Amino acid sequence: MQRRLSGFFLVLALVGSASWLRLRADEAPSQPQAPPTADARIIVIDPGHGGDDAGTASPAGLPEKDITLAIARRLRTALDSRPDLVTVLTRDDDRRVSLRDRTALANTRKAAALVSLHVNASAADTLHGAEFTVLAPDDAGGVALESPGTPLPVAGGATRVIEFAPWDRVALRHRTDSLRLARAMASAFEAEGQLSPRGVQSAPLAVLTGATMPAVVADLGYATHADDMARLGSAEGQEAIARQLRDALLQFLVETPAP
Amino acid sequence: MTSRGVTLAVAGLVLAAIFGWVLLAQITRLFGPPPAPAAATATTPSPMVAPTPRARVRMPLSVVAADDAHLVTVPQDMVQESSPLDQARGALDALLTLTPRTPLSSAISPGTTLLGLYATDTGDVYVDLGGDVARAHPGGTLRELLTVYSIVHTVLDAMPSATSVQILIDGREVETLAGHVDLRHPLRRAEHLTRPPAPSSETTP
Repeated sequence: MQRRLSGFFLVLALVGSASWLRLRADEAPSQPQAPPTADARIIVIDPGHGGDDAGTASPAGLPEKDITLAIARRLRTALDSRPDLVTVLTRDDDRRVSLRDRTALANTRKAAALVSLHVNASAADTLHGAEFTVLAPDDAGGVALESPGTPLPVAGGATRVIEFAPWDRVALRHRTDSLRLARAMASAFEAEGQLSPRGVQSAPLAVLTGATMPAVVADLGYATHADDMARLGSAEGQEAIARQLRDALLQFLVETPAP
Repeated sequence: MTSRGVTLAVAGLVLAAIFGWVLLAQITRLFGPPPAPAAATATTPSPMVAPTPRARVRMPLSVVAADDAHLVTVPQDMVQESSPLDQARGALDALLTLTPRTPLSSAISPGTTLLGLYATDTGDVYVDLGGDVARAHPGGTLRELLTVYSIVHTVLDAMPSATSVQILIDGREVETLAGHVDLRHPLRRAEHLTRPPAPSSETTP
């Protein structure tokens, strides 16, 4: 009896392991990974929505939160093969994370870039393609972002110039680099004929507010468009999207000297 | 009882009856219904004051354009209110229940209600909406932008003195409506989201 039970649990363990490995292989194909170097740059990938916030959904009911998480994992795998990069996900399972916390994670990790992944939606089924949005607070015009700073005393009796910037406008310092990152991504998708006519946009999006690095919201296609959903909902399509994002990120980083 | 006593009692009763009748007549005159008009005046038509019709205005309401990616305005005939804030409230009420003629569409979730509208001296307007505006939202960055700026533009068109609009939900400041657009601050007009009004941009009744 005991031998039978042991055999049963052994088979169960083998089946479970095989299923888990298959699931992992389906979500993020394994690639050779090298340990990160000491001066590796950090990329924060933000799978949009999660938990009780499902985001939008395809007509067949596939939620945005699942699509963004699957593509984020594939992108992490694609980037982690580089020893000079470390990829951090704002969530690695189905949980709700506030937008403030997503931005804060990128800030505390001193990321070189923040990419928030989303899926778009429209009332009609004609809009299609990827769109990339950078922060544009609508009252930003004329705001003096280059303040000279205030000298403040620090430990040891010295002084240090501290610059004060409003929280909701600090990301504007990185607007030029954010636009460069967004355009690199738009080019990668345009080369595959997958860019929306809207291309690169500016909008006051919450996850970008307060980001102290180049930051982009990447809407990877429309859940309401059949061709877009065929890509967004399939393993091959997700893999291709992750490759396009990786190539754009690498191009951006090559053109951006490390601080 | 003697005959004198009987006489006094009868006289007392008569006096009491007379006093009661007089009292009742006075009370009826003072508190009763007005007397019926005389026959001569009853046939004369009573002078009626015709109600002054309230002035009407055409307010632009922002709805989703035919391309589904921009906003256009449609004119809506409504009563002219005495204050810009009341005019904006009327415009928002109309926007929330508007069914534009195809191919235009509304950016507002069905069942959305206006709970309150407030303005500050500094030009900020606060629009307090019921939770259905978020619960019933279909999601998507573009769709959320169109919803938010449909409200912002409709208020700013109705209140030229206002400069920015902040959306509250159930009386509270919120991060976003559907996970994208930052609602923690008042928003100004976003002209890049608008298109000129269509020539036949009428609304259904």
